[in-house]
Amino acid sequence: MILQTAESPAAHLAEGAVYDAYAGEPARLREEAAAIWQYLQCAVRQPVSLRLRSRLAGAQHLQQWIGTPEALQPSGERCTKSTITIFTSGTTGTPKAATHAVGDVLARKRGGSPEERWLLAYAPHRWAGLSVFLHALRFGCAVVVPESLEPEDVLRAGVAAGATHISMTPSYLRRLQLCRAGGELERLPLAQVTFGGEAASGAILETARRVWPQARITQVYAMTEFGDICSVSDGQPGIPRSKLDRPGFAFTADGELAIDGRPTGDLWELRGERYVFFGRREEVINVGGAKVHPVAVEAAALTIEGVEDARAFGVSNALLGQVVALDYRGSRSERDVRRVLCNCLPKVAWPARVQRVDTLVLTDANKVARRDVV
Amino acid sequence: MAHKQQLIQFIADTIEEVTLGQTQAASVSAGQRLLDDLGLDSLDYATVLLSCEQWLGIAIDEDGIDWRTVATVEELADFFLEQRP
Repeated sequence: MILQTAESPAAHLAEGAVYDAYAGEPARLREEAAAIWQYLQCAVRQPVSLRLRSRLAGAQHLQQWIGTPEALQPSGERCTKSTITIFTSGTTGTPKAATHAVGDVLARKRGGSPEERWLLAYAPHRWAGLSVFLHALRFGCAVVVPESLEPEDVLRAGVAAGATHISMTPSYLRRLQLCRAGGELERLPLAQVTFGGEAASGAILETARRVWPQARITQVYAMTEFGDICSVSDGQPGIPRSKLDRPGFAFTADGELAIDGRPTGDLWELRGERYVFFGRREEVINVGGAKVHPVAVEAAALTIEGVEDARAFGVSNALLGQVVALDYRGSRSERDVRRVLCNCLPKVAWPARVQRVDTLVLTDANKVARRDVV
Repeated sequence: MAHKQQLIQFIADTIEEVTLGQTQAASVSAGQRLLDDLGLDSLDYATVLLSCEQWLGIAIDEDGIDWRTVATVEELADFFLEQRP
């Protein structure tokens, strides 16, 4: 499916109204994309607001950790300008709402042209997916929407439609390489590859250059709460110092970036003249771009009979960046513990390694050390 | 140090464990692709990688890996055997 500004009918949404929409059903990607596209086209013409709630598939049992987002009130309020309210995933705690004015976001978009064909490789209700739509809307580009976000579907749609641009996480590129059609990556006539969501390593940047030598390779730093922050296309890992040393941006002593006084939770290290991302303040485990909170995994482990204590943490993984590991004390076998956790946690939180230990590693403050110390 | 056949068997056993028994080790053959033929997803594959690293006592990093060349069970075994010090 190809969405194009000129060919899509404008939506007929009541002016000033607020709409709630559920999103995140993988099997309904095109339906969701079409609905959001229609909304956005309406949003540039008259004030309407959209609130996107995503479902965490299979995670209802984690509701106690996620909580009910208070910001999700019944619809019906009026609005004076078009906005999108998007919720963070909630896998790291209570989902946080972030509202962006459509006009402001569009005004920050730069350097597009109507000839671009963007291949959608993100869920439309995530900021990165919305950002693709907003860019397309701003410059009149086309968006190629695959049947699903499965790599083979994305490749097939991109090749068939002659996609020229793609925005994806580094982990997603690795997944594309691994799929059966991975040998056909070169058939995507890409002029632009944009990485976001995770730090792009030198290796992944080199891979992209090798597969698409004609393409410009860009890294974008964006957050659901802050929108697009900056981008860089010099092919080097990290972000040039000048991009983050600017008015309104400040770093704490331990490297956390705050924007306009609001902490981002992102930790950066200045190496030479570049800032390099090295993690989140809250020790969240980043599994291929999906965030897993160690506390939720530990809590699930502690419900297992025979498990006395546990610590979850991230371990490096060449494919996904990080995966979850669990150390525990107790009498249950490692195999039993993993199987129970696999039955009660969302898959992304399944521990890739479960290890019974005599003692758990603690920090100097006698807290569980949620770092890979192996 | 493990031989190739031992490593292939270890990978097959790990796949059975990772898939919670949905894929039996006995049904895994060397030429099968982990993702397409055996139905593993990225997380399953990452778990197999981690298990092999632990079993062999090595750590791999992304540098130099062409993921297209480690798609089958046998290719993965060959890859790890090449990583041995």
